[in-house]
Amino acid sequence: MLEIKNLWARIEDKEILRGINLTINKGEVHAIMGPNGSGKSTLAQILAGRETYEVTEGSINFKGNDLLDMDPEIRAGEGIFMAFQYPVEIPGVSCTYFLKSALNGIRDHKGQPPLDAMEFLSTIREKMDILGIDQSLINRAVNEGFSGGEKKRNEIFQMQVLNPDLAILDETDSGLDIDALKVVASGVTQFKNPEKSVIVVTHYQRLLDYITPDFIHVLYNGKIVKSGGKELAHKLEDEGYDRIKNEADSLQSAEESTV
Amino acid sequence: MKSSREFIDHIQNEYDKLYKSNSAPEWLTNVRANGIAKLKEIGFPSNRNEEWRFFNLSSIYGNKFAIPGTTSNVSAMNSQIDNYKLNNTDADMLVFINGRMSEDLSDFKTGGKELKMGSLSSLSAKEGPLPFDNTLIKHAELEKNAFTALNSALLTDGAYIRIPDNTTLTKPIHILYLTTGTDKVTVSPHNLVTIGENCHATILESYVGDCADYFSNSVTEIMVDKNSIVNHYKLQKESDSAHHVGTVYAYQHQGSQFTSCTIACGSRVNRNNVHVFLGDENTECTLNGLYLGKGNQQIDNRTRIDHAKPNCRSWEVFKGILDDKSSGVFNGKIYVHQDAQKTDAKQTNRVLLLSDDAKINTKPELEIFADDVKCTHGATIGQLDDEAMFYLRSRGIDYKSAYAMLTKAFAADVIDGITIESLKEEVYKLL
Repeated sequence: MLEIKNLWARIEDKEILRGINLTINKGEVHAIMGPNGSGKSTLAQILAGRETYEVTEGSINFKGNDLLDMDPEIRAGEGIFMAFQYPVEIPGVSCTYFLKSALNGIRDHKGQPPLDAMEFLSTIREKMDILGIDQSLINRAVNEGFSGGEKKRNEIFQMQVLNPDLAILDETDSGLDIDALKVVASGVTQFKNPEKSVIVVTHYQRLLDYITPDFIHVLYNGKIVKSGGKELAHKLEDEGYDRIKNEADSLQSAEESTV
Repeated sequence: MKSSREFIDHIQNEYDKLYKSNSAPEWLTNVRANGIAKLKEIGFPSNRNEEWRFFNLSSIYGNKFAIPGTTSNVSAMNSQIDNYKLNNTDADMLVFINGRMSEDLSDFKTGGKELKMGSLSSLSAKEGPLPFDNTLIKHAELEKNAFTALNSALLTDGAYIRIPDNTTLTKPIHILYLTTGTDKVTVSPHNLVTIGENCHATILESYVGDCADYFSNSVTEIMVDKNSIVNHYKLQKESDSAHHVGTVYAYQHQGSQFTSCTIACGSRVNRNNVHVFLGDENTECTLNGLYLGKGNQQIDNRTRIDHAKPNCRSWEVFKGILDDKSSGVFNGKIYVHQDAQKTDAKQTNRVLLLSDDAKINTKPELEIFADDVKCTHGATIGQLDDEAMFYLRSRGIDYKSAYAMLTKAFAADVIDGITIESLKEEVYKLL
């Protein structure tokens, strides 16, 4: 599904990603963890097509195509979805209109005819029920005046409606109380199937209690310094990131002294 | 730069050539003579004048615009006129070609014993001199404006609408001005609208053109009597290289509600003057505007709301979307007279700059002489939100659609206030 090779990226003069290698197969759930500032969100945003970051080296292959070559809307059409850490408020654009345009944009990319109003409504109705999204919410402007929980739930709702092949959740758990976390997690669990892949970017282990990852990667200083199974999350929870940081730092200085 | 002096001389020549020995009706001859006298007395402004600081006056002064003669073969323009009509909207149409009303192209059926609708020239021919003297043209502020004096000096025609008390108009009145032909002309329409007590009316004036360079200098005066509700729209879609100076002046009596929306997207150089005078207690005014600039367009908006009496409310929202090298001006004055206690006035100007070269000068001016009032103003200037663009695109919405979605959202509150559905749709399409 996704193959990232030696990915280097920076913003202005600041190097953020320093050689990421990651392969994600169909049906797999990968968690990317790491301390603040390690580059987790940068990686998620680069996958979604954010142009603020400059990719200086490396490649990303998505379903056999060069992802870095595609505009964000093409990536969406090809099946990539990122749930934003900070969903953007867009006054004056209703959720319904936005979502219908998005869905029809993706359908157009796939060569499918657009859905009319009735078809669209029946498509979203079912997903609304699953996530407990209220009709009044989707009549409002996109994310405008939404509570933190409503925003995150709205992201997962969009994910369900747009039905991507690869979903990237960028710190979707941050700022959520336990009930909202459960709703979000159940949304993701229902989305999961052998054809879909998920990347969960998170600082904490608690979301992973509800969404069980197949692999966990720890990102530090723009590199994956440790990969493992779901047990790694518990280890991190117990030990914190310090141990991994120290290991990585001493490895780094060892490398430097060798040079 | 051509001087205003040369422009006045040119106007005087045109005036002498066409109007001096002309056998126009007496009232019209008087209006013109007063206009030219006033113009020579006050002279055209220069950019040193604060009111005209940013306006490209030399682009007007540098031209020798002629007064158009009667246009031949007007009836052949039927299909062209259809393009300018509102879609699926039954409206009373008053059509003016090069400043003169065409009976053939116009189509208005609303009538009645007291209700008058038509052109100044045709109605005065039928009914004698129109009550020009009783209208607002004498108002001091207007008299100080050289372009209003010019409008009187070169007046050929305009719409005359008089709605008697207790009348509810079921369809809008659409006054259409088309400037056409190959000559470099100047048209000076003057519309007089008098709405009686307890009326409900909707009026749209639209300005379009198919010739390259011309100068359209319009004046519209609207008097709203007690407890009437009037919606007024002005759609300026002149051709790309045209000049348009337009003045709308409204006077409101007790308990009346006046809503106006000025939409400007055409012409190369555009000045919109809108002046509303809340002349009695408990009047309400909503004064909106949307200006859309691209290329090298210049759009200069100048509004003034006079709160003359207590307990009146005004809401003003002007929004600009400027692209390429276009530039805009918003200067909004709210003048609260000493007697106007409990005034509630709110003014907003928001501008979206879509390119690095687009420019806006915005300046609110509150002059308050009463001590118990609520007056607020605010101006924001911004660019299209990159975050929002990325958000929309990351969901599969292509760049162009995302861009359009955000610009539409920006202008939505002004456009959604338009009560004529087909006009609302048309304005959305301009974005």
